[in-house]
Amino acid sequence: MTPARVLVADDHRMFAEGLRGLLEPEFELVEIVDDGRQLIEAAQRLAPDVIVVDITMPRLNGLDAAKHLRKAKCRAKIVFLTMHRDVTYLTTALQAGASAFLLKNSASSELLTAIREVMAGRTYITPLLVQRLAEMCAESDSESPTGLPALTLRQREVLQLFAEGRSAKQVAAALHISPRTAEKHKQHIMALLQVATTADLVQYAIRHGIVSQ
Amino acid sequence: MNQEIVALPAQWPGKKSCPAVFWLAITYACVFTRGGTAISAEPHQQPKRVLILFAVNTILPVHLEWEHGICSALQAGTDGPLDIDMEFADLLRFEEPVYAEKLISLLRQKYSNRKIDVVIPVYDEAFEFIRRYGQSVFPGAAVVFCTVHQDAFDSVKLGQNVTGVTCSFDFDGTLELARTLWPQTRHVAVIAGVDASGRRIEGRARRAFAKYSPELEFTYFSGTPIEILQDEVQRLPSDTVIFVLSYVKDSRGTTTTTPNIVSAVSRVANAPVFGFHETLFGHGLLGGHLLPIEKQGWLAGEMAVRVLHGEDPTSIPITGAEMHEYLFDWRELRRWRIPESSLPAGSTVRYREPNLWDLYKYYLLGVIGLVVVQSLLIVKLLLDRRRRQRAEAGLSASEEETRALKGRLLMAQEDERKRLARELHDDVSQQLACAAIEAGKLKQLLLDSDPVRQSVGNLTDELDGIAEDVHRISRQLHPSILDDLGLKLAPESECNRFSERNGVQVRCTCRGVPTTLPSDAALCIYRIAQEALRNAVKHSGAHEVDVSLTADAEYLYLSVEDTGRGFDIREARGRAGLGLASMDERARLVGGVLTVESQPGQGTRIEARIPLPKDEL
Repeated sequence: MTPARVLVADDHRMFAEGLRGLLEPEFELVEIVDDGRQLIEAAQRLAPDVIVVDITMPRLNGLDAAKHLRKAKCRAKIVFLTMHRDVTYLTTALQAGASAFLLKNSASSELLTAIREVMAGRTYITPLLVQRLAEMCAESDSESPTGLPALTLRQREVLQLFAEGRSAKQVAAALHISPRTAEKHKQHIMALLQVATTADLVQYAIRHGIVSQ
Repeated sequence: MNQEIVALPAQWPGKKSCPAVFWLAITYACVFTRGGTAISAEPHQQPKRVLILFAVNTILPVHLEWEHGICSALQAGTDGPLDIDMEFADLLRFEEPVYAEKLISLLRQKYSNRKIDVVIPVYDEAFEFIRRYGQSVFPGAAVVFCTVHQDAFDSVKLGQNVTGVTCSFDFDGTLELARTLWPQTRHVAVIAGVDASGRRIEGRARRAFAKYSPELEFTYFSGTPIEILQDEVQRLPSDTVIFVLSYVKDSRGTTTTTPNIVSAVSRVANAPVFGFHETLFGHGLLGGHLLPIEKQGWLAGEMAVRVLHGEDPTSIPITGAEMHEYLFDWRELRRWRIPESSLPAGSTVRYREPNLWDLYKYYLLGVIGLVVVQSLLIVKLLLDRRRRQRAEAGLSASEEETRALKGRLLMAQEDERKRLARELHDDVSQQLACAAIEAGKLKQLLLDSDPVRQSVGNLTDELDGIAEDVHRISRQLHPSILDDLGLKLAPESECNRFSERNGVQVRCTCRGVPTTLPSDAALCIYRIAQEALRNAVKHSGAHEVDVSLTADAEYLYLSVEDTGRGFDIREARGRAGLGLASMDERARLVGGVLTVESQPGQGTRIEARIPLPKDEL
């Protein structure tokens, strides 16, 4: 079995070179690039099996680069190797198409395992964050929205005026904003409330006592 | 004496027209003494006696003036006892010789026991009476006449002890004056009575005016009855002036007084009325070059004093011909629209009607004073206000400056923190990571049983800890997560970490946050959230905090709400350390508003409202 071909993207050259010593016995390090743009170019050119990428990078960060690669149908597994011990980064990375997420400090012990795992088609998440991720999922479950989202005070004002049958121009005059802004408010509200027509909007306003029948 | 006065008319054979009281003599003796001390000092000194003989029978203003002038001068000039008697001889109305005879006998009887030292006959008729009968009525009395026309004594020889004050009517001067003031003058209406005095004066006037014909046309109304006169003077040509001379009796024998005539004429006349002596003044006379009556009286009084002091009357020259004064009635000047500027130099204008200023001078001054005081007050208030406004403007300007400076300081601080954070992340962190990798590699090379492996493992953990610390510090200095994940996710991350570190339940809701947001606004919101979270734990002691970040088309709203113990906002504002001021400052820096709601025991809610850039709409 040919060793998996690994592309490393990290603007910290010394660290990347350090990775070389870690990876080489088992995997083939095809290239080290400095930023997100180079990564996209190199990924297309070299078609690696695995991409080890840092998040904070000049020109284009790792997350956005990963999104690009996914969009470009790049089949390489993406392994995020970062300083950020943060579950938000983790979830964002996963949404961006990451196959693994681990921290630089534990690279020596986890990176090889992570690459092996992703090569086997699984996802690897550093144990240092798994706990938090689980907690967060539990929280978001318990917080599952029961009603429709609350509107801001301004949105309620706008909704009331529209529901009372005023035009965007009248609403704008009443609130001292431009008609365009008033229209924008209305679109936002309709999107938030997931309604399609002005009639639905009026219905909502009446149901929630924002305007009287 | 009373009996005699009453008895006289019974003996009087003349006059049928006035049977009851056809003779009236008003006598009053004025006894002037110069004070009790003078009397007690010289108890036996005989009083000096002066008799003033008026030609008329009624007290007119003119007599008061004469009397006042004469008496004042007498009083001023003598210091011994002095008796002043007055007789009103009524000689103007009764010219009959028989009246004179009766009068002589009356006076003779009256003054038989009162030796008169000086007789002062006033006016032509009285002088004539004294000239003729003086020595028989008042034997030994000196005569000091008053206001007697030159021609009354010109042709007669004056006695040894006679002197006096003469007078004249300034016909030429008055005519010139009339022509100056009334330049259109072509006609002169001359009014006089048909009594002796009236006729005499008219005669003088005719002689004086003869030389002005035919340049001027003179019409003489001699003794014209008053109602006819009034009728006539209404229809005078417009280039006429009226001269009133002396008028006691009209052609029908009705007696009147010259002032009466003047006022009757002046009231209806269509031309100004001029006169010749001061007595007519004030009755409708425009004015003229007038003979001053009181002064004439004073002059005669002075002469009498000199005679009483023993001076020989003949050594005292007759004077008084040139005493005329220009005198004008302000009301008549107004009536005929004659400007005061056209009056001769040295003119006196009397009867000036007080104007509003004269009448209400003090009220007006008071009001003006009040207005001035009030105006000054207002001006002062305005000045104060302006000064205050300037001070306020200055204050707000300096506040602006302070705010701008604070803003720049905040920015500079953030920049510096960011630089430090990057330094830590890019340099220290990466080197630590390298070291960790090297240590990891070393560990892998060692056998499990090797005691060094344990040390290397410890070293790895140590490095891990340091790296974590450095990363945390870096992140505290500057939230690079904002740059990486944006404001949509960064608060969530911060809340999670905060929750973990402090054991507080922090719920974070982000909704509708625009993906692209100016980094300063994002940082500002983030910092406010951080500060609010810190406050919630540190000061409120809260165990649950809700962080909400929402946005609509105009604003971004951040609210941080806790269920802690809350605080008194007013008290807290004055206190440093809560970070309220810094949150406020950050919100202002990006044009936003920070509101804090809190009450002791009620928890705290902090809301920041930041306007979104227009192009974010």
